[in-house]
Amino acid sequence: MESDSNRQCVLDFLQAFYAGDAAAAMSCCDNDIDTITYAPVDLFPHLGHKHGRAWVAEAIAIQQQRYTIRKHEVTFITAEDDRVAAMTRCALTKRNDGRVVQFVEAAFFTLRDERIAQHRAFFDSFDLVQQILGHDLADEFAISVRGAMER
Amino acid sequence: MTEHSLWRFSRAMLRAINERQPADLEALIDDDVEWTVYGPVDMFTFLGARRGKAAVLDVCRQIAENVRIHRFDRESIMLGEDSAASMMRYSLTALDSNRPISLRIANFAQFKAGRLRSMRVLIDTFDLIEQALGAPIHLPKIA
Repeated sequence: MESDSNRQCVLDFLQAFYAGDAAAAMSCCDNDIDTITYAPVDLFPHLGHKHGRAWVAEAIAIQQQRYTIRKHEVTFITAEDDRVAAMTRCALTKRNDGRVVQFVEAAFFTLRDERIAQHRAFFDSFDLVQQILGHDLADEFAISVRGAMER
Repeated sequence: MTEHSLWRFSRAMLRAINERQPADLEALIDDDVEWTVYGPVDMFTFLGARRGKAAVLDVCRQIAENVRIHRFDRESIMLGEDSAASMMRYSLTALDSNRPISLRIANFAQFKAGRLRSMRVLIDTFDLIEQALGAPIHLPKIA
């Protein structure tokens, strides 16, 4: 079934991505892959809107520069026709201070000829920003947000 | 062909939030449901994890007290036998401030006998907080 092979392609992509095997990860992607990861690009320059599968190798290289260990676990995956959705729990160990940042990512893939042609992803980006910066921003903004919501 | 549980659940959820009529929703939630909306609970008390039908209905009531849904666009939906994943774009209004908020939301749902057994929801929370503040949050650049 098409959806079974597409599901396996996404699993292979995620496995290769987090194993740091750029060639294998790129082989799961269409040459013209269009990807958007919704996140603040000041902190995550390898995210945002990218085009072409060279992005895969660049994203892996940036993560490898920043993190010594990158682990992932797919906690939910479903496929229908040429589309696959996955929820992945990720844990990255920061190179500069050894702290582990953890997040859950939602990713939606559209495949063409059993390769990933479109990728859309996002996560609890505020929490991840706090973890990357190493300090809590919630206190700083909680009162402002509550105030703004009530204005 | 039987209607997928997601559609019944989506209609009931919309009614519970916009019309504050939770009866349909109540019938579609498993007693032991697991529910998580990842996000800062200090800012938005209706985010976070809940367990059990009563807790989920209570959090839906809190959502209904805080927002109204004006429009939603389905950007991607996948239906499994007893599961569903969707990426949606919602246009909301924060009721207290009348502030418009536009959100992209991912839902990962599992059903059992037509009832919601598990729901995991992810939001681009940084974007949500900037919209709630009405101003950008300035971050250091990392090359």
